[in-house]
Amino acid sequence: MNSAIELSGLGWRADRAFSLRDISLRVPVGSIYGFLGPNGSGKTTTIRMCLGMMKPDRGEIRVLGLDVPRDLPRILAKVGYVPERPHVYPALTVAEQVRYHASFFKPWDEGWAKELMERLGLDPTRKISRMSKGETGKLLLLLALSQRPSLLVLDEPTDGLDPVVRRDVLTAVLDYVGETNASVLISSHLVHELERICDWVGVMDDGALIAELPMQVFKNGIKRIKVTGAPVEPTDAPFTILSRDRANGTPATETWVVRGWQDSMRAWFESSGAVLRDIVDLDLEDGFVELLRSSRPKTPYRS
Amino acid sequence: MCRLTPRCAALVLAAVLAAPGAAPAQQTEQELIQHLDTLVPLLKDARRRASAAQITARRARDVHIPLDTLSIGPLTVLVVPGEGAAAQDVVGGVWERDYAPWLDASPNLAEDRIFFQWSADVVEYSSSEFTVRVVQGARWHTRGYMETGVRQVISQSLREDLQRTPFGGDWAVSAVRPPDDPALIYRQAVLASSHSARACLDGDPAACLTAFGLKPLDALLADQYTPEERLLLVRRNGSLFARAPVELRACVGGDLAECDRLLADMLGRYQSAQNRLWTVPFGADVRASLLWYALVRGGEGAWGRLLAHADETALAALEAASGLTANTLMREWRGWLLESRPVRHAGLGTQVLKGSAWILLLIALAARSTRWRFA
Amino acid sequence: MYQPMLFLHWKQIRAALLPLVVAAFALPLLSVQGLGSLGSFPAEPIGAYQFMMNSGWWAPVFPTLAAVIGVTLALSSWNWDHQLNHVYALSLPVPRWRYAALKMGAGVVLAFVPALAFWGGAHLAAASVALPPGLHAYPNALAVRFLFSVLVSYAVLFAMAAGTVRTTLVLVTALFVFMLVGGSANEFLGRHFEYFQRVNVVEAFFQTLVSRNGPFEVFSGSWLLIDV
Repeated sequence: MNSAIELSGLGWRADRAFSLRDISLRVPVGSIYGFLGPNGSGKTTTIRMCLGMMKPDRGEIRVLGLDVPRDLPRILAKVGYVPERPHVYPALTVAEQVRYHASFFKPWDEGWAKELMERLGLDPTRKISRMSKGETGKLLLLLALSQRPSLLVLDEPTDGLDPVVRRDVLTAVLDYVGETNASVLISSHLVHELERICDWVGVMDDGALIAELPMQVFKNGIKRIKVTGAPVEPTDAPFTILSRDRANGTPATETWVVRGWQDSMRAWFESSGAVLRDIVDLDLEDGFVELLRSSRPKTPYRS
Repeated sequence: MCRLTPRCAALVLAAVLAAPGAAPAQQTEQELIQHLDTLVPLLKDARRRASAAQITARRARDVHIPLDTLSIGPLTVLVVPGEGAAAQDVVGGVWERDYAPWLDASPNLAEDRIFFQWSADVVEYSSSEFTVRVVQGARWHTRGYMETGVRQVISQSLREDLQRTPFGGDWAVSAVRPPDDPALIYRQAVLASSHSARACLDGDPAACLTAFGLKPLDALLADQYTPEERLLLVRRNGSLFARAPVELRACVGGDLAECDRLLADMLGRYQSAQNRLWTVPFGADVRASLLWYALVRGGEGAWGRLLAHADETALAALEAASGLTANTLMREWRGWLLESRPVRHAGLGTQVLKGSAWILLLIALAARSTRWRFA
Repeated sequence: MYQPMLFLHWKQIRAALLPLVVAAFALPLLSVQGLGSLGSFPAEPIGAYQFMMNSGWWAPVFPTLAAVIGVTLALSSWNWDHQLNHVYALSLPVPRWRYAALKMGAGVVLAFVPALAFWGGAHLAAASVALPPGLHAYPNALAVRFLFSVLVSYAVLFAMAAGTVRTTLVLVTALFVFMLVGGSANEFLGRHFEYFQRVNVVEAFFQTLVSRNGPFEVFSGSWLLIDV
């Protein structure tokens, strides 16, 4: 088994406005996979399909080498899931919810659950309905981690949390992964948050997976370059041009955002009669934005 | 029944005018009430005559249809062609099972005709020559329904045998047929609000005679009911005492002596036992069950013996019919009654089993609860 | 797994169940209130008739209470899951059928609580009155009937609520429409078919539910605590 999650040709149609289109995705075993995308792009829907909560119209889903939905109980026994919104019983106390959850998972780590409770500052006697969003988020993470999962599926786990709690949550995840080599699928629209922790990144937009690549390649491969005298239709470029804007009123100079850049590609500009003026590294968020922009229908040339 | 028709009104008017001592212009309220009381029997008689006139008029409208005639014991059964076998089966079954063992001769039954029809096309039949008793049912009616109909018409004929005797008049029963539901008789007997009825159920035969109203009339009410029960009797039959509202209010308010005065006044006005029947703790259906028990117990010739003694007291007629002494008859009837006690939760076990099956089925349905919750 | 599920259901329902348990205990006692001794004058003397009248007056109260308890149990059973869109429940590593069965089982055990209270109340009530001859008290049979009435109404509602909201809505709407238009449809059919002149389908439908072999048959028996 090389993949913790493997989706192939996944399709699902909700209505005219939204559908998942032919999603093929692979989360390598032991990786932390950042699942990026704007709100409403289909991340949660894809995750729910992976966990057997929704039925795809077509395509195959394998999680931890097992088939969804046939092997769901076996799969779910090894998956720690933190949903995007707190889905736990509000009338229970923390201790009651932990006890209830533990009864369903055989490899439940009681000691670690207690340790995490202390570390995350959770009061076992506190009623869930009276807890803040941050506290509920911590509880969900505690539940997911204490079952010693082979795969953690975290759907916007830090959304709406304050920076301190966010850091606590991510630290706990990283500690667990460091200790167990578990795989993690973490979805978020907060790109900078994933930049530090992810090995792989998949980008969803409007129901389609528009990119899937190692984080390093994603970060290094996206550049903003300034070009003078660029050809009108650069058809034979060895990189992908994500966007192309005229720079500050100088008609001859353009700003390109390109993907798949390598230094050896400088020679292409000389051969095409253009001059490469400047190369700037983009951070993940800029790259993500440019990637989304490039995947959407072209707008008229911006000047 | 005399409805408010011009003919009926004329009869009533005639009865009023024919009454002795027509009311003078100025009378006290009490005198008026007494005068009206004397009119009641006359009114009843007028109604009876009107009813007889209606029956005669109906009989005049003979309907001539081809019919087959069957003889089953003393019964003459008329059927439309093709239904003879069904009639033989149903009427014959009822006769053999319920009546043949003790019913030897009945003047009315021998003369009356039973028109039996158990089919989809209902035919109306009447005759002016004899009384036609109709047992009619559509094809979808059950055999039990038809059998009940047969028992009812036989019972009507037999009641007419008794009608003009003191037995039939003073100790009127609702029917001469096996109780449709013995459990109902048990319920009625148990629910009688009378200490004599309760003592009877506890096994005192003398109390049974009291509760059945089979003892001499003198002081019967005092034996049948305690003072509080007499209050209840008045309260439940308040409409009968509407002419004495002040006394009624006093009685219902707890004045037991006033209750007794009211009852004495009411019962004293009508000396015949028939008019006191509403005070008998065991009602008409319970009394009918005793008559039925006596007939069945008496066996062959029981009906004839009953008719032969029908001019004596009701108790004497019952003793003659059953061939038992009063005490034995009461004891045996009580035994039969207690056996008729309904088993209140008889079907509960089956219901629980079936309920469990439903619950299991519903669990199976619930277990198919889909995990595809988002669409 | 079962114990926490039972605890969860108890936690969900306890606020609603406690008053119902109290009612189940108290109603049989209330039903014989004032029948224990001769009432003070001018109250009617206590005879079998009064007992039966009183018993008859209370008889519809018991099945109503049983149905209310059943419905409360069923709705509370799925209530939290419906509120949470079933996300948490579906993330648990148990087959769906087993999850539903565990929930059902928890409700069944909880149904015994009011039934036991009813049984106790009925026994106390029966012991507190001197019955006239010919009358009997039926605390055991009535408690069994009560328990199964709770269970059956619970199971029906539970099965309905186990479906999606859409399924439940379809079922309830279909029933409602049937009740609304069934009478008129019956009248129309009656003009053409003799069968429908004799049979009212709406009435027959509800009759079937409570009559022989119907799911609610247990409701149709005697509910008199004191009877002949």
